[in-house]
Amino acid sequence: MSVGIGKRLKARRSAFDFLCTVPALILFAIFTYYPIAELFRISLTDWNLSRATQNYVGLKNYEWLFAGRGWSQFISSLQITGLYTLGEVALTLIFGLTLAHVFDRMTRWFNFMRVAVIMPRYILVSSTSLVFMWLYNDMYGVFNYFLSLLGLSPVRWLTSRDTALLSLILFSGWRMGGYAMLIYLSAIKGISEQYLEAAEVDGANGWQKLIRIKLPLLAPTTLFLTVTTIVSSMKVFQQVDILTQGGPYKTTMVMVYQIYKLAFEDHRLDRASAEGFIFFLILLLFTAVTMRWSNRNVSYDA
Amino acid sequence: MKPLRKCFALLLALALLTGCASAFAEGDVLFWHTLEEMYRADLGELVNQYEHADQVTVEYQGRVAEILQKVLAANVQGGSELPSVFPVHSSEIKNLARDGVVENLDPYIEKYGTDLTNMNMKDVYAYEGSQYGLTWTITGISVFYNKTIAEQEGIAFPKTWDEMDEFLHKATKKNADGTTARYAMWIPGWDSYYFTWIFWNFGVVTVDEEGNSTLNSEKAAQIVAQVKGWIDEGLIMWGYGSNGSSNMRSAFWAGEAFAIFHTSSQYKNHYDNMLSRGYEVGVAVPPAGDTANTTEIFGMSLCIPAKLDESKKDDAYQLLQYLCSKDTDCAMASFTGFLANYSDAMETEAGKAFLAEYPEMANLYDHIADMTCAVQLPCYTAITDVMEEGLAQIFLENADMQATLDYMVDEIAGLYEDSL
Amino acid sequence: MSKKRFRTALKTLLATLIMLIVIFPLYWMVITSFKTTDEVLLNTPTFLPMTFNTNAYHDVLTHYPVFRYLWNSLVVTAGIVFIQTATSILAAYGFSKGSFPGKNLVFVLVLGAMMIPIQVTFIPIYVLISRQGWLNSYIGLILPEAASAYSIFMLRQSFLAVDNSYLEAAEVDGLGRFRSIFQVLVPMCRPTVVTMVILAFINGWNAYFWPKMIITTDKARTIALGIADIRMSFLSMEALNMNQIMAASCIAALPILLLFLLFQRYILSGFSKAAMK
Repeated sequence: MSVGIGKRLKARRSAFDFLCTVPALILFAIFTYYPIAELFRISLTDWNLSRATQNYVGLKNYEWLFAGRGWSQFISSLQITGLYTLGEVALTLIFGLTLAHVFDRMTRWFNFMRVAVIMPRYILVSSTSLVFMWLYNDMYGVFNYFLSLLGLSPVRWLTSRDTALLSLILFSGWRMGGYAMLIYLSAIKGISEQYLEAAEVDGANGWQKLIRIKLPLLAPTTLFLTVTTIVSSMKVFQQVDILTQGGPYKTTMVMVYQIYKLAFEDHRLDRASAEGFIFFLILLLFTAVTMRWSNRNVSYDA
Repeated sequence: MKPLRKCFALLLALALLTGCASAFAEGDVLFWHTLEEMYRADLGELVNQYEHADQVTVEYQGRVAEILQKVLAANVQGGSELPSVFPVHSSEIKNLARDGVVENLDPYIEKYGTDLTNMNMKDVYAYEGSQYGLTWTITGISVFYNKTIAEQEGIAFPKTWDEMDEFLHKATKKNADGTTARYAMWIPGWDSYYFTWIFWNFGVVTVDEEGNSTLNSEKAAQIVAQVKGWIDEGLIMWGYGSNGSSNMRSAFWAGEAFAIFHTSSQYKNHYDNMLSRGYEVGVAVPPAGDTANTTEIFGMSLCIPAKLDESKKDDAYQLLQYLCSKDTDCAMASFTGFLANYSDAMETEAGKAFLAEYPEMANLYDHIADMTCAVQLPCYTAITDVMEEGLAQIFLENADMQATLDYMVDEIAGLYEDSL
Repeated sequence: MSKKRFRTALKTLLATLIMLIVIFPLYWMVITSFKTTDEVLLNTPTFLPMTFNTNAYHDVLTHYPVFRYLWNSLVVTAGIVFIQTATSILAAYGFSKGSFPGKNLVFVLVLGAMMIPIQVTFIPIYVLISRQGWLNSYIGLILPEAASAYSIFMLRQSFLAVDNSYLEAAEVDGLGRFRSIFQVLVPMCRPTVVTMVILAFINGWNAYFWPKMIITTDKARTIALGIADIRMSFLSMEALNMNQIMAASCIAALPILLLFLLFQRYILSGFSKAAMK
């Protein structure tokens, strides 16, 4: 008898627990998983934004993407997205680690400076992109003015094929550096002083301490930053839209921007869906690989 | 913790108060346009003179391609967020008429007795014998030059390509270190219509109705090489990329560019800004080549979305008719520099007054018959991208010339095939 | 001792210098907004405006409904924050303290959503939202961005660290399960919850991609989109009107500064800890 009540109570409890997750699950079902299925369906049609009709055309759009004219742009967008991601991750980590070592004192002035340094992440990206557009301007930009003070010739930051992507990455690094600093700071605080003191007794200098002790102990933090930065930089859109629109010569045409252009500028919803679906598969693969790799290689002891 | 709780209460109250789902009501006749900020006041004035101005909401919605995107997007919804009247570029209208995006205006033209005689470019906006849009703006690629400097230094803008070299050397000013202080000519390479004349005047076909292009012909290569030489010598500036347009204007107004290529619609803007800096603006047509003396012309028509609520279409057409009428024609021309929509517009009182005030514009009106429309292809924007990128790579990034030109021709043919 | 003091001074100097470089673009935004057009276009830029001119503010506020943009952003962000906080807390509870068959499998589905951004799935969502007639509406802006797998993940990690005995004690006290989530679990994980709210706020406030898809009218425009559109409306005259663009940006930054003042403590410390758990 009492076992039955216990069971019923347990069933009620797990029903409650499940119900708690339902609101979120409904939102994910409608706005994440259903769209993926629908994306695949649209990719099998010939849907053009200016026509109301959709006809099934089989794998024609995938043929266009893999064996037709879509291929070269697809590959190049994938490369650019990869380069951008690599650049943003590297800059974020480097800036973050450097700033964390510079701004680590606990005085009021340093506290204020930390606030100032993380500000860029909190101002609207629209605003900060436009400020950088102005700083990067060929003729009136302050960056080129500084270069001229140093006796260097001006750089066409956003309009030359060699520097446009780099300028975008620099902007993102500036935005995210302070945030990475915060996260590193709290992780460094967590490193037991014993480790560092022991190293000092062994006669290790600052650099050795950093490379031999801090970096390995900071590995989980670095992994966390790497994964979150990758997630955000794979979907970069806003700064590209404002600063370069994918140009010059499509050198900043990241994947998301390319899909957006296909859908809303060329009005080819069908091709955009096919490309979007493939990009989704790539993200999926990437996630699976990262998870496996990180489980194996990063120790979470610290 | 207190501020957090307060903020939460505030956020919750906000969310409930606004009911989350409030839609935004619009004026009866919504007019989307492409005229940038500097024309806001004048365009507002023009609409205010319309007899039902109180019903009209005017909204700037970005460039014409963005407007099209928004209209097509609203179509997916079934038409509730559509504007009543919106501009369509001359290169797009036939596709849109075919796909049933824009309304056939014939019944309205008949009902309201609209007079289309002498309306320029009206055939461009017709499809299978029916009118789908009325001519709203026409703009031709023209040359604006610094007339004050021209008179001071005795520089004449070249009438033919043969005079170019001498002109470029004469009008360019160099600094002591060899950099250019004043460019003789500034060509905006970011839009193909600014440079198609270079090819058309020598009989080179940028692209025809079948997707063919002779951009890699010997003649084309010869001209491109010549231009490249002038660019490398610091005589011509080839504009490209973000801020390009902004920088060109500023250079022209500061006397750092002698002549620039721009759409005629920018005339008033240059006129006013140059005047405030003590310069006069001269207007000319691009130099003639060995086969022609043409320049690209294009325009926008005003259209009504086919999916617009039926009850709104009559009001929409009346506004459209007003905006495209002879009454507004010269007014638009004088606050912008758009070419008049009616071939006899310059013979009217208002037209004569316009030319008396802006005599330089007569140089353009004399050449209207020679101006050429680009071909209409569904993939034309993508094709122009190829031309713009290709030339910029040659001129600014020192890409291999013949290889790039060959690549451009292949790309154009490919894009054409792809769009079938 | 003096050597140590010298090093401290050197470090402070270096840090100050780096900070100045980092905030220079923001400083440039503020002073450009107070410059006249002529001063904006000087060939030698001025690092302090010659006069503090507020014309740019006046112009941009008279020609563009900047406050309407701000209001729209506020409403949309509030909606996103509210729905996201509520659903995330509940779901995080379910996935940490709760137990039901298939919990881990369902949780993997939630984690998977983290890697599927709206920038990939926007076409079907776009069609869905517009068929509902939700273009240019608050609800159309809020719903697709309301759920966040990242928030759930973050809160779950934090809830997991809370000992079960607290929840059991609450039960003995006669507190229902639902109430004990909000009266025991949430207060115990306050820094993480606050951090999650701040993150949701920042993301909602910054949202650009999705609003760009579904907004076509000035009345529905949010501030992130509004600023970009103000720049677009100057088209090729942007250099001349940089002061107005920057003025609008400065106005848009004010609410964020307020947020900073209120939550500085959490942003500086709680943040990082929560994110790392």
